[in-house]
Amino acid sequence: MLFWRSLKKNAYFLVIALFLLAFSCTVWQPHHLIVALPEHGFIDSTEFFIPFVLLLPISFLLYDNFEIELGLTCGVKTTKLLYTKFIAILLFAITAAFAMVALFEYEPYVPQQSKIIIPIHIPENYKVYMFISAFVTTVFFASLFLFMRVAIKNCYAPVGLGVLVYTVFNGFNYDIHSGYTDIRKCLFDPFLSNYFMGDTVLTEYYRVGPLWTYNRLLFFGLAVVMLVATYFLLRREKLHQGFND
Amino acid sequence: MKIEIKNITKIYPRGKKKALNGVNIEIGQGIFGLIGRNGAGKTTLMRIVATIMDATEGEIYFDGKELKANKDEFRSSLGYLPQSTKLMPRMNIVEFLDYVCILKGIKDKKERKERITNAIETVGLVGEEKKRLGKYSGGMLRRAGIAQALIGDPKVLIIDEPTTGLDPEERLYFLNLLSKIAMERTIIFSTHITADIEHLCNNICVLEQGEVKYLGEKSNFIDRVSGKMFEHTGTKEEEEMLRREAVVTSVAYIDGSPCVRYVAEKPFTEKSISVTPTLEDAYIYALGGVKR
Repeated sequence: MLFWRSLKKNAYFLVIALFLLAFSCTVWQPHHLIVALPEHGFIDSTEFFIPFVLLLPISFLLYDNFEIELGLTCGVKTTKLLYTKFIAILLFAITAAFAMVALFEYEPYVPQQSKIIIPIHIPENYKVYMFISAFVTTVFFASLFLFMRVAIKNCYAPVGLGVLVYTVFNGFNYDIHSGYTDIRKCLFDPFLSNYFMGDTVLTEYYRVGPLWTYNRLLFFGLAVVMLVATYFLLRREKLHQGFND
Repeated sequence: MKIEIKNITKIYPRGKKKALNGVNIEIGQGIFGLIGRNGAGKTTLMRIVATIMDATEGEIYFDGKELKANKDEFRSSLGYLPQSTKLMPRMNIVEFLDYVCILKGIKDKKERKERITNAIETVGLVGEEKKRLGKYSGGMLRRAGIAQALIGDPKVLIIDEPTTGLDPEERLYFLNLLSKIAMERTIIFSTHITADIEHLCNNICVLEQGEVKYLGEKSNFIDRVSGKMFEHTGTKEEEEMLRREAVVTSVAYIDGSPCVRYVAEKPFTEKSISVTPTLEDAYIYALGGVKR
């Protein structure tokens, strides 16, 4: 009951996502979304940016002290209160991410015509990998925001951290694409581009197929660890001592 | 419902002193007043009874059952109005109460609607249903808070400092509302404004620095100073003398002259007249008199 209500109440997230999606396709960066040029990575596109923006409200909207106290006195555990909202927001963010992935098309790499420095083969079934990527990244950031919200007990820390991570990795990703940074470092890139998942490397660099797999496993593992940690923090029912929002 | 608070002590994880120290209280049906200064431990005690936080030591029983082991049963007969005045500012009263109904596990839509209508009528917010709670005045918000506390038809109501910041008219309306809903319920009402409980509660508890200073009938509490209460209007020097020699419960300046109410075995000045003590006099006396 609580979950369905939460789903209904947060449905506007999906409307906002679809609006952003339409805006991206037609006005903002249509070539990034519909036809990704090889010189642009995932991060330059909108398929992660929009779910990322949609996930930020987790930091603000989950609940406040009054709601926690109200829930407890009504016999609703803090964990249940939180997860009903969290899962609803996460579902909409993943739906939006998947909608974008579905619209995404790579443009084949053309030697001498494209600016890319590390040309990597894109496998034919790249959309499957993109869905996995979108899922893992969205779950990772949702877990990160949730964990920070509960552990640090305010909404500004996760938002600040989120923006910092996004900015740092945007530059980092660009460096890797441009060949300025060791490609192995992309293991620690939460916005890992599909460019690095091909099984054929056309330069003297590395075989990056396993790197992509390790990366996605790493971030999915981190998401699970953060969710479990959040669960144990909530079980202690200490949140009534207040958020510092 | 009978609530027994036995030897409750609370030490916050990073707290240096005890927020509550061996508190023992028995609460029966009717409105029970919990008075104390800010920081006396009222809210901590209310939260422990409301099952929001655990005590460091001690037990609470309701109708003979241990609270910790029967939290869910107690919560099903509990209504709680916390000190927070915000509620949920983006919702209107109907949406808010509907959410509370869902939290309380009321699944039937018709039943929810019925309960919401009744609660809104009880607290006198008919006609205000469409307005967002963020646009409500302080008094309306408190009434909305009472509506949410009443929605599950609770046997116990815990109301934490509800009159703070209300204008006199809103305050009176709220207190009348409380006395109306008090029938067949146990209401624990905390405040630092003695006038709030003057005409509302028979049984009171005075908390000071986490300890019970007084527990019992309000009339007996006032009786502790009856026959010892005097009023003196005089000079600044006389005021200073009374502050040194007696326990002063209030000082009001009338046309520049201090009018001092004090407690003493006998009058200190010839101009002193015997007066009838109020709950506030007894309360201030229990706390050791007014400071500057």
